[in-house]
Amino acid sequence: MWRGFVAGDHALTSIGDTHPMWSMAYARAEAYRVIGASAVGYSHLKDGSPRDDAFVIRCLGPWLAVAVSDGLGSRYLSRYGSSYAVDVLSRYLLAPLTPDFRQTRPATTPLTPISPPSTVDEVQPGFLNRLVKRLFQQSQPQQKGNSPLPEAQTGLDLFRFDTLFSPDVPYPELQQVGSVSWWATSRPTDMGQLGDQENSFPIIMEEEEKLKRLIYDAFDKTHQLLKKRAEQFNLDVRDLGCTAVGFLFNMKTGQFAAAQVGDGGSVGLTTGENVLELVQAPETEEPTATATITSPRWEEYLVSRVWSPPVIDPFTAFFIMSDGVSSDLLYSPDHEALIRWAQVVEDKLRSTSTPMQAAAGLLHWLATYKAVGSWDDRTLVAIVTEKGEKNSANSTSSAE
Amino acid sequence: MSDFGQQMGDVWSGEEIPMPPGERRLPVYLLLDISSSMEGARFHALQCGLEQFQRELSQDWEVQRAVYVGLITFASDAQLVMSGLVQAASLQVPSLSPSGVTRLDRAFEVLLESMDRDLRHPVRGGTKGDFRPVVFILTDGEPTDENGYRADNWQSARDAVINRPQGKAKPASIIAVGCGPDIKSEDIKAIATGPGIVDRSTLTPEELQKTKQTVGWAFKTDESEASFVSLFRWLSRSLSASLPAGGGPGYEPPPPSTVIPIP
Repeated sequence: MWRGFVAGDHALTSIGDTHPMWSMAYARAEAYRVIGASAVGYSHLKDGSPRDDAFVIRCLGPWLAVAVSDGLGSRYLSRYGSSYAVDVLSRYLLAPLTPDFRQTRPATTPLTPISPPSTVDEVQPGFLNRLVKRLFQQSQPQQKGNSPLPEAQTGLDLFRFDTLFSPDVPYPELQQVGSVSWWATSRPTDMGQLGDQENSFPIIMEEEEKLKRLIYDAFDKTHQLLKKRAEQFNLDVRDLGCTAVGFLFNMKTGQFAAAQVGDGGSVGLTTGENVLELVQAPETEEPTATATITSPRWEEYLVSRVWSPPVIDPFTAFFIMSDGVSSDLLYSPDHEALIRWAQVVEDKLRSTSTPMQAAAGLLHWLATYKAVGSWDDRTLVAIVTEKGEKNSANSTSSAE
Repeated sequence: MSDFGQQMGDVWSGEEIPMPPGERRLPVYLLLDISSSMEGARFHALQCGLEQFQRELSQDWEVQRAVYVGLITFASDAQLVMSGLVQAASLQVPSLSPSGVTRLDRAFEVLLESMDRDLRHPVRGGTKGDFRPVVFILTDGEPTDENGYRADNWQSARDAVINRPQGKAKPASIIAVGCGPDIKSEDIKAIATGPGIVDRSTLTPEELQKTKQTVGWAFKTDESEASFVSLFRWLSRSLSASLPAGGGPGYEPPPPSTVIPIP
């Protein structure tokens, strides 16, 4: 059985609303840092509505799956759709590629004892609490006369790090929750074979048509299960309306695929300092509308592309995002600015001392950057090589 | 750097992350009745209301940058004052004078022309698209034809605004306010839309008679200056308080007591 992890948002159930306003996740996987963050949009903060975006990062063996979804703002329960969609999509992107978990065999050799971790990532205990409290300070309702708070003008001012913040100010409305895990990468004995770590996974390139079919089936499954979910909740499936952006990456071979229904997007930064859209969503009937994975016509709007690792100008980083970010990045005539953005973000994610702090930095930036007319939830998942591994993100690590 | 800043360590600020330029606009169309029946105190109240609208918008940094106003006046004809959409930060209330009949049909036609000409569609690598426009209509009487007789020809013009062909933007909402004793509630309700656009073309004649075509966006107010000022203040603050993508004003804050929803 292959080992891996799941990080990000949880699928909401009928038992209460556990969807947080801000969410971040991080992981080390093979030679990469995988960092995800999702921030509630200013429009939602102003009217008290919840975050509708969701994301999941799922890893099994050499495969990494990322799913991002944006619930329709016009549907109050759409986060129940988006949080479920990312769970299902990421699962079914990986399922056909990984061995059946029921086919495992018990270990035949003693395992090297593994010591539990003795240190946590070096982040001050109160660090994240203060970060989120600061975020919440900007979401405070405006005072009488609609005049803005002294520090946060309409919630758009940047954090002022030199502004004193008293940790004693109570924010009973806001609580922090965190869970941190350590996962053991697959060992030879998991495969029932002896041998070194590198030979645990078959390092082969999948056929393009096979991956395309896999992607279609994963989106189809997501659509079908969302319909069933709506039935279980006694809702119209449109109440769970959401987009779906998927990304699948083999960390050993460098092969990857991107797909989506609806807005949002995924881009890659190359060693030649170019930014390429990994797949291009078709135009919808109405410029400001979006297709949804819950729509009976979702197949008309599914776009996907399978990439083999380019020999010339390979990728160094991938960014998968919801519409709240892609509409700010991808609709400007200044392509050079997009390249600079990608380079700066990649560098920051890679050079930040720990993945946890990289995630906190990404979340902070998502929650606070200014762009006129940008009020939607913002979600971004980035995959960058670890520091010291600055070869391409998808170069093959083996001749086979 | 403060202790807090040091603890934040590598947390980033927006200044460190360069974003590509571009803005996404929220178009707001004001369709204002300036027929001869608006003369006198009523018209003065309208002017005061517009000035209040401009003042309120200029107080909100975000709104004044994102909101673009199209001012359409209608009487015997209709025109888009200022020849296009103007950023709220630059909005100046024009000098207007009432006269003529009430060609609401022409107002919708001019609105449609502007939507086709002035609204931006999203272009990857080009421009951000506009949010769906919010349309606000203020009138004090019945819609008429060119001779001043009551007419229903405005309905087809309104339908053309709502039932757009594929690829064309539709309004997020049409808010209709009637002022003065001559308005008919049925007219105001028929002009406005609900929180969702009602596609009249899909309704049978029987359904058209029975269906409440507007849910929530039809109002009436009196013709005092204070009421007009309250009305425009509420409109501007609604835009400021609730700016979801593709949406329009909400009921937060709730309308003032002088602006009465027509059920």
